[in-house]
Amino acid sequence: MITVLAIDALEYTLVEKFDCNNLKQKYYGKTNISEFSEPRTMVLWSSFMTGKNMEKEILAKGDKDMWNTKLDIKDTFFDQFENPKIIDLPGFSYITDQHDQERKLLKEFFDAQSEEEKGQVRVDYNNLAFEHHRKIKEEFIDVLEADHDFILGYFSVADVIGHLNFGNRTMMKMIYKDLDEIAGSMKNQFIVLSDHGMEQIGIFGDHSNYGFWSTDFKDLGNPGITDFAKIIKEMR
Amino acid sequence: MEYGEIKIPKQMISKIEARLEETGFESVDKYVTFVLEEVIKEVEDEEPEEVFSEEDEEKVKGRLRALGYLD
Amino acid sequence: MDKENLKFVIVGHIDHGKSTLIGRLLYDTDSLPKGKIEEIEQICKSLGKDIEFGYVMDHLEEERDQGITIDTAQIFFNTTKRNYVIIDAPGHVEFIKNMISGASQAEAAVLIVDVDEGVKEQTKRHAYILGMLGLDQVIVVINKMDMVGYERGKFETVKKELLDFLSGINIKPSYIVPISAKEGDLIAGKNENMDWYQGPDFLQALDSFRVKESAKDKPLRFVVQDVYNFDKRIIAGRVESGIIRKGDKIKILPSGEETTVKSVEEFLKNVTEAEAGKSTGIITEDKLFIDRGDVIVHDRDVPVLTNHIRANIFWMDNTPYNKGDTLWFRCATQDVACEIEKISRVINSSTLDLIAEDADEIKNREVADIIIKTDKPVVVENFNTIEELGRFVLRTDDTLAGGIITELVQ
Repeated sequence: MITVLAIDALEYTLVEKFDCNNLKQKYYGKTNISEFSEPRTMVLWSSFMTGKNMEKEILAKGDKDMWNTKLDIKDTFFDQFENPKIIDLPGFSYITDQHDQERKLLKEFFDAQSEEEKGQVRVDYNNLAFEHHRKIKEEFIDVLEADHDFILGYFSVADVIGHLNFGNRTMMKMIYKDLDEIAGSMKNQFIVLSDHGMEQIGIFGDHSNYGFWSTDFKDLGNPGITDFAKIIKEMR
Repeated sequence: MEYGEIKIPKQMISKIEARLEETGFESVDKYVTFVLEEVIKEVEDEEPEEVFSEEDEEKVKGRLRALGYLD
Repeated sequence: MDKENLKFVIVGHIDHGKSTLIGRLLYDTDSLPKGKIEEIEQICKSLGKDIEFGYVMDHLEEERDQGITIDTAQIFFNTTKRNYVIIDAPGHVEFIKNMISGASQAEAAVLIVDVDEGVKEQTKRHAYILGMLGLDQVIVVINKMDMVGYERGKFETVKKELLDFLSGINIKPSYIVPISAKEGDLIAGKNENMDWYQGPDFLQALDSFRVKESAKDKPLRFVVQDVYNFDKRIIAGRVESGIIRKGDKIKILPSGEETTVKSVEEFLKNVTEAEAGKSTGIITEDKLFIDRGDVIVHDRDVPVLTNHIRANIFWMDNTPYNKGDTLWFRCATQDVACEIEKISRVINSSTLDLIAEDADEIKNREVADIIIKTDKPVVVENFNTIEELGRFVLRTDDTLAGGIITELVQ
């Protein structure tokens, strides 16, 4: 059974700073995403799944429709598995309602006129993200017990919360520790991968120009996100 | 509360002493402390914090648009 | 009712759990800023977890890294009995400087030792500094008991090692308590794992300590600042300790002349006494020769005049001091020429390493145990008795060192 912990926006420097030893595993490092013009979530995960640079194709859909991308399993490396389970992955099994709601609140936050209003929207936004995270965690734990040859759990909490709260160290640290706990509970071999990391702009977070990877079996060096399709194929 | 000592011109002290009765302060120390507290409050209230977070917000908005989160 | 305040310091090897102990004290006495706890509780709830001390500790460490909260010079927490202040400082050197120059005075000290690591070099150096400060209320906590299965044997071994060392430098701890700051054992009422220990827990030990005697209950020391001759002859000064009252029989030092207090003068007020901390003026029955720097005391409570003083100093100037060089010794308003006659020990203030014994010089940022010889006898006190007359500076044009007096040498 091969498992991937796909953690959106997992930032290399914070994994180190917060001593997330379970996330680090034996080998860890940064991914190379310089081939992409911007570190866009949809573009990156689509490229991950297909093993090729999907930037042009995805961007052609426009900002709105981009989020509704749903690739055919035949175009992804998941196809080689008999019974794969992919939870909430952008571009494949993305829970669009949830994430549409998040973006809606994000817009509301920036449109809000008073500090008070902003504060309230932020609270709602955060609650929405945390609730979803709890649901995903539960589902993921259940799926791990079931009989699949490939499992991918996608965790968006660090990215969603990070955009509005990256400067809140306490919050970010607790999220990272929680993710580290999830990694710690894994019984079988797994890969940790993020599409990009995060960097601070005041209280907010922007995407950084590299992702995070870790394994317990091989030092991957500085892989591109498109290399993972091949890497996982070879693991079988 | 712990106190330190500062030096101010004797002339100023005399002036303050002369004013004490009409102001209701019990001593030069208390008068000067009050005045300084008020001044510092005013200065701190300017809150340069606000300016920075507005800048940050604009910057982030721009980035989120580029990344496709906002249109 | 006004609660008493007790100030204390926590010293020990940097990894032996000092910041966890501080965090635990704040947490267990509910002394953390409300907002912080609420925020952490909220996030815990959002992640579907119960709030744990570990999270609070993480948060406090985060803030410390960013230079907030614990990184201040004083940390406050309260028990029902007292308000406590932990005197702490971000940088080790600052702490030492403040303690040695008497800028902050602790009334008690806590020495923390990791039970698994035992007494380390740093532990010994810290203990030595405590000895230099003349603190006689010391609690030793042997921490991280959770890491050794709360085993009594381990505790007793470290306890013995420590007591052996401490007796050699003349420190007698009032209590030695086994604790786990991380788990909260024997800190504030919780003892689930060490029923072999029958003594008080950490907070109980702290609560048992004496608070510093109030300055006004100490012997009178009125330090003369100026003498004014208007229509009356007013002696202006500061009551560093005790109370001066109309009618008191007093003695002027160093001359030894005696008189009575005719009146106590305070600007715009009608008073008959002035207590410690007040700057005031007095008029004496007899017109004696009194000068700035003189100290007025009660004739029943005369301090020893001396010109040999043992002290600990923190040298703050770039130019080193060479044994025998002349300096000015200033204590309260007394200003006399002096020299450092003996430099018994010199210590590095950041590592607390012993640099030299019976040395010939003291360099910038070094701490030294010295004997000062003043040109004229001065009225001074042991810092732990009357701190206001136990604190001094050494200077030429600039202040070169600050220090505290540990012994009046006969």
